Amino acid sequence: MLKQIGIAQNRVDGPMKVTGEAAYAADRRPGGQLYALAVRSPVAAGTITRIETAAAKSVAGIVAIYTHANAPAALDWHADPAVMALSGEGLGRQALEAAEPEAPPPYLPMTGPDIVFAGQWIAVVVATSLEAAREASLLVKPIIEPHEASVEIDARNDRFLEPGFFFAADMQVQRGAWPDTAAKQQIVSETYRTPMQNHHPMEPSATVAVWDGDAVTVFDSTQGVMATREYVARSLKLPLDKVRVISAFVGGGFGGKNQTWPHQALAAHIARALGRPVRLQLTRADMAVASGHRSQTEQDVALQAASDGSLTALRHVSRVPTSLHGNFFEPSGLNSLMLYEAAALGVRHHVVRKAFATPTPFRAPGETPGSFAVESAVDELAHALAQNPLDLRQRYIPSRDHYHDRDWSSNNLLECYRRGAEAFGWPEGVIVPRARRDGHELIGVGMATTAYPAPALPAIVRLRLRVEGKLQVETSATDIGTGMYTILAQTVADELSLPVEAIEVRLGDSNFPHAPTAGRSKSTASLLPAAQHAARALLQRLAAAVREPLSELSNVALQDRLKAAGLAELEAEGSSTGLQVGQQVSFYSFGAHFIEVRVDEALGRVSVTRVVSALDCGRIVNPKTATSQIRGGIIFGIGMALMEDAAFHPTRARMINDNLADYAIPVNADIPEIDVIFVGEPDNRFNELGVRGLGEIGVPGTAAAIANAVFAATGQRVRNLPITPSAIVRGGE
Amino acid sequence: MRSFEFLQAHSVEEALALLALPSTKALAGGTTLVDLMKLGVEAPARLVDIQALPLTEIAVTGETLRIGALASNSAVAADPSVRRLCPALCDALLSGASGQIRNAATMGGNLLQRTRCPFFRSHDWPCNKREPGSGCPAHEGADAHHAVLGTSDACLAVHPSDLAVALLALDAEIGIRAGHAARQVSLAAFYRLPGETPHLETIIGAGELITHIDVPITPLAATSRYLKLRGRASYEFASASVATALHCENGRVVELAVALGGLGTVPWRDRQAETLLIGGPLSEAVINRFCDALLAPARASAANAYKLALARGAIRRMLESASC
Repeated sequence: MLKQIGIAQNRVDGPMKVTGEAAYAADRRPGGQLYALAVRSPVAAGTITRIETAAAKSVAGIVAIYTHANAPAALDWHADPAVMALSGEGLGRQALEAAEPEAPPPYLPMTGPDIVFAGQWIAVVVATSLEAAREASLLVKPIIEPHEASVEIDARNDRFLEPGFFFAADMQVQRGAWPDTAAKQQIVSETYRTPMQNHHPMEPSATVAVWDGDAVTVFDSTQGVMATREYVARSLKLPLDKVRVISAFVGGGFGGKNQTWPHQALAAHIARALGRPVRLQLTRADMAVASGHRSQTEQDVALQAASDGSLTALRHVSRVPTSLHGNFFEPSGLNSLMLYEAAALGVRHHVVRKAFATPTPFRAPGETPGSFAVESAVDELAHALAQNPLDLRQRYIPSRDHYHDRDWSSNNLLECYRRGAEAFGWPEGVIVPRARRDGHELIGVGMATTAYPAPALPAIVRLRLRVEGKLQVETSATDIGTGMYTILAQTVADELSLPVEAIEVRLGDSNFPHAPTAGRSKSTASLLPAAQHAARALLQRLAAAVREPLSELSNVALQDRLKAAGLAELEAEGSSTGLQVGQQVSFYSFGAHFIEVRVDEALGRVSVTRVVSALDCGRIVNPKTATSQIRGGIIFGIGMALMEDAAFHPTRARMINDNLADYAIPVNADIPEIDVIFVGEPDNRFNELGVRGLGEIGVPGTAAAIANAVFAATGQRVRNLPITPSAIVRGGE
Repeated sequence: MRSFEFLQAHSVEEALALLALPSTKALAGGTTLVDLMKLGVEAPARLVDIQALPLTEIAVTGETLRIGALASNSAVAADPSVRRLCPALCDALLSGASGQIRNAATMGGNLLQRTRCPFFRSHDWPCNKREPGSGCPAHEGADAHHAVLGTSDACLAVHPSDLAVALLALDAEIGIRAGHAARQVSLAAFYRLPGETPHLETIIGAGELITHIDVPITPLAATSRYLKLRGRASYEFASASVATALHCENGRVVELAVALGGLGTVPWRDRQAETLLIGGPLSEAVINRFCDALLAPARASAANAYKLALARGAIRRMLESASC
């Protein structure tokens, strides 16, 4: 019987976080700890002639300065392709292999004199205090012979690569021939652009490495302690059991802590060389260049529809960059493949190498920029057809996963449309731009569809029942703000008929049982079935220990039974298998955003005034943390639509706004009430609880719904994000 | 951050004596200075903590509102007589920074805060203001957030203060002490255009200290208001802002003041252009003529021309919504 699952439970880790009791990576202060800070290259391309460090070395408290000249030997620091393949630099290599058989040599900072992007780490200073490290870092002076560099996509002249499979989908899908333009067909054919975005989680990444003999403990801020352990151990040439990674609390990740990055290994290399604990802290400026970003995209979308709206052709061509040495690119076409069925379908990706840091997944990679383009284009088509955008989208509900030729395990998109539209008060009939005004403000409404896959990977959860104290739940999974601590407690509580307060969840330690990295909305469906199985295994072991049938156990407290059996504690593990190979159905989540904006054209102001989002994410384990996840995703979407833009200097190819003063994200005053509706239908073909992850589905579609609302308000179609005051007063120039 | 000597002043005289030492800066709220020291942009050898000085008064004397240089931005914004006598001052202060920063930031510090130009604030970009003669990356096509008024070939950095824009519209004067001498200058004469010397930002000399701000109490000041435009709802510097005050009789403008922020290298006002509005009713046509005159000296690029549109929109909104 489900008592806790489905209840809006407060975060069990909430009091620790608000009182400061929760220790994040940089809060650890092992005795004798040194402080390390990086020095970044101000130029985007060139060769380091030399690095002047004399002034920096004269700062009191400086212990060491590492550059490419001494790091390889002093730290055993090398760009080993096998190790780099494990890192964020390697992600996407398989996809690019078809187009580029010979991989470029992997990039690792401080292994050579070449500068390959602005912001590249060219030195690390280590000092006895943060202040000394900071002062010295400002005094390190690189002499660089600069070369030409570009970060701009040039559709005509760039040499593009055509990647193969990525994210389980062909990046070059071509079905049917593009139909001849018939008189009765409506066509939309436009180019949409999204800017580079930075993750900027509240907690900047930091790694504290502490050696004890030949073993090292790494306190880190990561979404995945197991992946980090493997990367760090391989980099140190150590067996896995000599490296322990602890990331008990993570102040946001969003993908920026999903892959592994050089600092995580570098801290341990430096600590080994100096024989003292080392904290390597990324500054906010480092966060813009040293742990990935979402790249800019350019997307051509063409839709062709019969006069009744039925879609006859869809073409979605994305031009997306990766770095000179890395491999990740935005798979922007994923949702076009999954959501829209047309006889003629062309979904292609063209990748070009540019001189910036390697991009990486960022909260719904692919789906987020792709949805802006396609959901804007569908809105443009609705207006061209003089149809209500909701009516048109209802026509397009995918009856099955046409791309993979499989049925959906569960698809309640129609119910999302119905309930969202009802709660929002979505208008009927044709939406006429510039028809609603209140004083100086034009009012418009827009909507968009969102969808996100529901993957699952194998995971193990361990329970420990003790005669005294709380029942312990252990797994190496991380809670990056999602609520994993809480939903694990709820799940175990239900299985064992215990209150949530009787359970202590321990996460983010590589000594705990295996769990996948938190990312791609898979943790809930990976961990909760394992927790269920662990609870059942515990009951069975307890029954065996006390020689009573399982059915009798629930009448007496578990701890009393344990005591009666003469045991101090009892452990049990449970595992989940993740998605089976050769699955028969497709597991996906769906949803729809309905958004109202007010636009004051004379003042260049766009305010998002109402948001209703209805989502089909299976059974909701904890409505409170789930709603928080969706709201957070929508706030990301609002930032993407109206503010975020990692801007580059046009000739120096260097990011200008690598700080939170100049890189604008929404503040509370920008965010209206966000009404989140969960359809809540359990997906029981997915797992017994019928649960899916939902960390990302709030983001895709939000920016398009806002742009569509701005069009309804003003008649101005903005195809280049963000929709800034400048874009509004220029009138769509 | 470079190590520095930390000194505390217990009287204005002591502070002035200490400030006469080389490479010495006064520390009040520290919300800009400490920030810039961490970034390596400021590196004084000595800081003189002046927070204990008796310069926090907010007082009405005769026809003048006097505000001490060390009154906090929060205290001034919350003061009922300031709100009644010159509402633009409160609105400007409350539109800036955050509650926490306003609690720490002082009035004198607000006037002396340095530009938010990202090239200035990062130690490894060229910047003529930070390092004279090193160049200006904004001039190379990266000027979307830069100034269009009062610019020079050397510098396009926007003056960041909201307070200074309101004070310019209110004809405020700044009280300054140096040694035993005291002087009072109008805010209009306080800031220097960048010209060839963008590192020189005000008329304050080495060893001088702002002691107070005087705002004349006039019927016009009581009508003053402030509107700030930016890319998000709070906690951001202005893309464009405007302080206005307007006094009409029988539907005709008798007196007015319009000051602009976010567009200039210094807070911007054009009293000559204001005469275009005086004596007649406020029509759309005359407001447009005024904007044309006010913005005539602007040098805008394709990337920052939107600021001119924002300024026009803000001025029109403020004047049209005022009672006349």
